[in-house]
Amino acid sequence: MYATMKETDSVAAARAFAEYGAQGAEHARLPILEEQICAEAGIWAPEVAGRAARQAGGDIPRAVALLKVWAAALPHVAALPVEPADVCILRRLSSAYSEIPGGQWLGVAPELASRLLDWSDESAHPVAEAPRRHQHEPEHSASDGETGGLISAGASDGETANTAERAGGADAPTRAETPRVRSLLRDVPVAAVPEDSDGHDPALGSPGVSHDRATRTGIMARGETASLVAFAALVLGRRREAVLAEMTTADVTVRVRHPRTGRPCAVAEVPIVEAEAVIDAEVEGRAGFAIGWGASLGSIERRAISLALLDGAMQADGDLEEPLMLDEPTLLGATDGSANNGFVEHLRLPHHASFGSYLSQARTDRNGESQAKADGHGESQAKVDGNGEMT
Amino acid sequence: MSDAPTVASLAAEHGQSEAYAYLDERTKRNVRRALLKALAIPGWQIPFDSREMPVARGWGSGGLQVTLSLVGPTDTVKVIDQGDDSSANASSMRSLISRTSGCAETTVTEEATIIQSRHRIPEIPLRGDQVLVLQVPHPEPLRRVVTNDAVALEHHAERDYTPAWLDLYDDEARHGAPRTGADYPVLVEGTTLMSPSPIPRYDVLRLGNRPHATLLGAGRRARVAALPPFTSVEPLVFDDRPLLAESAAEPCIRCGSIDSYRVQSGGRYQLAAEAGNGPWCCSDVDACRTRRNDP
Repeated sequence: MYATMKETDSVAAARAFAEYGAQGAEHARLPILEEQICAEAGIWAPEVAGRAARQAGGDIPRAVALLKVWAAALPHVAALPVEPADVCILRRLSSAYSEIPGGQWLGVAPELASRLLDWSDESAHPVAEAPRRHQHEPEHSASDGETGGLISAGASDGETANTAERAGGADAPTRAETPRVRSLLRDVPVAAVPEDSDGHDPALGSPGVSHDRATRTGIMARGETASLVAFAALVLGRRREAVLAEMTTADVTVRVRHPRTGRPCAVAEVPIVEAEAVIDAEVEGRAGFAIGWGASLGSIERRAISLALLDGAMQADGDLEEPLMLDEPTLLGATDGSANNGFVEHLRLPHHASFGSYLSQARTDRNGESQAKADGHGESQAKVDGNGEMT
Repeated sequence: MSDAPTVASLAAEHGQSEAYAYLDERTKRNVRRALLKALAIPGWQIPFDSREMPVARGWGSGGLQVTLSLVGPTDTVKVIDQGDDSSANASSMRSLISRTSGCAETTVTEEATIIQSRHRIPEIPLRGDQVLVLQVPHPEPLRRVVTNDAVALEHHAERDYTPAWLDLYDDEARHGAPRTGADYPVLVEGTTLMSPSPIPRYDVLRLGNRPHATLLGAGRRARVAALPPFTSVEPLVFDDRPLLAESAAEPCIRCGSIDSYRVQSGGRYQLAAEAGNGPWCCSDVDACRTRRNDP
C-alpha cells in the first residue's frame, strides 16, 4: 500500500522533471554542473556554461567543448597575479588539526547535506547551491560575453568591486590575514618545492613536452573532474598518510592593468577552491612530508583535493615512477566513481588522531637519528616511551 | 522459519515507513553472515554485499552497515570520529542509527552497547557486553606492497607475509624505525595479517586480548573483519624492535593526563602559530571529560 503511493509519487516526479526540463529551461539552473563545465573549460562564465549545457543536452564534455570553442576566438587579456588581500575566504577547513590559526570556517558544507533522494514537490525546494554567495547580474553575462573580451564576461561592473562589497561581506577574512596551515609543520622535514615560475598559460596553446610545476598545475586545473578523482584515488590508496592541511573556497578579485593608466583594475570576481594536501614522503632519507597544492575555478572541492594529492605525489620522491599496472583491481578501482569520489572527499573529515600519529613517528625518526649519533649507537627507540599503555 | 516475524515485519506493523534500522533484511543478513564468518576466522577479510549508504563511501559506510546490522531497539549507540562524539559526520551517523532503529544514543562510553569509531579505540576500557565497530578505509594490510588483491589473497592463504616484512626491514634499515604512523599492520593469533584501521600505535598496542568483540567494516572495499573477545593481536615487528606508542610533548591541557593519546592542536590564535606550539589535548573526548569530572 505504502509502496504503491511511493511509486505514484516517483512517477509524478519523473514526469514533472521531464516537463520542467522542456518548459522552464531558461530558469533551470544547475549551479554545480555549470561550475564543473567552467572549471574543465578553464573559463569562468556560469551562464554561458548553462547555455552550453542545455544546447549539449546535458552532455558535459560537449558543453565544455562548446565553451572552449566560444572562448578560443575572444581577445585574451593577461590578468595580474591575484593578491592575497583580494582572496576573500568563504569556507576554510583543515583535517590535520582540530584548531588552526585563523579558525575553521565550515560555511556551506555540501558534504553534510542529506544523501537521500527527496520525492516531494521539487518546486518547493531550492536546488543545491554552490557555497559562493557571489551573484551574477543575469544581464551582464551571456549577452555581454558574446561581444566583450573574455575577462569582462564575468562582471562588466568590475571597477566598482571592492572589499566592502564582496560576497562574504566586510568581515570575511582574506588570504592576506589568514596564515597558511602548512606553516605549522615545523619540526618535520618537508620535501623541497621545485623552483617555481609564473608558468605558461594553457589558454595560449600547448607549451611543449616537459612542464614546470606551475604550468603543470595550470593544465591539470582544467582536468576532467572524474579523471582527476580517479587518479587521486589511485594515489591515495598507496600512501601511508594523506591529510588535508587546508582547504578553502574563496571569491577572488581578478585585476588587469588599465590600458591607459597602467593601474590594476578589478574586472571580475571568480570563485576559487584551493587545497593543500600533506602526504608522506621520504625527505633526505628521513620520514617527512610533501605538500601538494591544487586549485580550481568554482567550488567543487573534490577537484582541488585531487589536484593537491596529485601534486603532492609528484613531489614525494619518485613515487610516480612506480609503474602503474593496468590490472583488473586497478581498472575496476579507477572506474568506480562513487567509491573514488567518497574516498577522495573523505579527506575533509578530521584526521587529527592519525595525523598526530604520523607526525610523532616522523619526529621520532628525526630525534632518534640525532640521538643515535650522539650516543654512538642505534637505540633510537629508548628515548620515546612517553605514552604508556592505559589499561 | 519463513512465517516467523522479522524485525522489519514487526516494525511495519507499527507503521514505520522504512525498513527497521535503514537496511533491508537481506542486506542485514548478508552482513551478519559475513561477520559470523569473520569472527570464526579472526583477522581474515570477508567480502560482503556493501550497499550505497546515505554517507559517501569512505565516510564510514562499512562501519555503518555493521552497526545497522547489529543494532536493536534496546541498544545504546555511541559514534565517535577521532575520539570525538561531536564531529559532524559522526553525529549525523549517530542520529541516522538512532532514528531508524529506535535505539538510544549516548556519548558516555560506559553507557554504550555499540560503539562505532573512526580512527580511535575508546580509552575507557570496554566490557564484554559492549561491541566496538571500527570504520576501515584499507582492509588489505598488504595494499602498499602487493597492489594486486588476488595476489595478496594468496599471500594470506599461505600466511606468507614476506613483502610486509621486507617493507618493515626497509624502514628499519633506512630510518631506524617503521615509517608507518597510524594503520600499523597487526598479526592476529600470530598468523593472519590485518589492518587495524588507521588507529594510532597507542591503540594498536591496546587491541589484543580485549573482553569485547571488535568488528571492522570497510564499505568502499566491501569487506569486514573481526576480532572475537580475547584474541591475540600483536603488531608486525621484529623481536628486538618493539612498537612504541606516540609521544606527546605535554600533558592534556584539559584533564592533565600524561598517559592518554594526545594530539597537538594548531592553536586557535595566530600568536600560537608564531610560537609554533598549540596546546596538546586528549583525542578521546569522553575519556578526557571523565578524567576531569572524576580525577
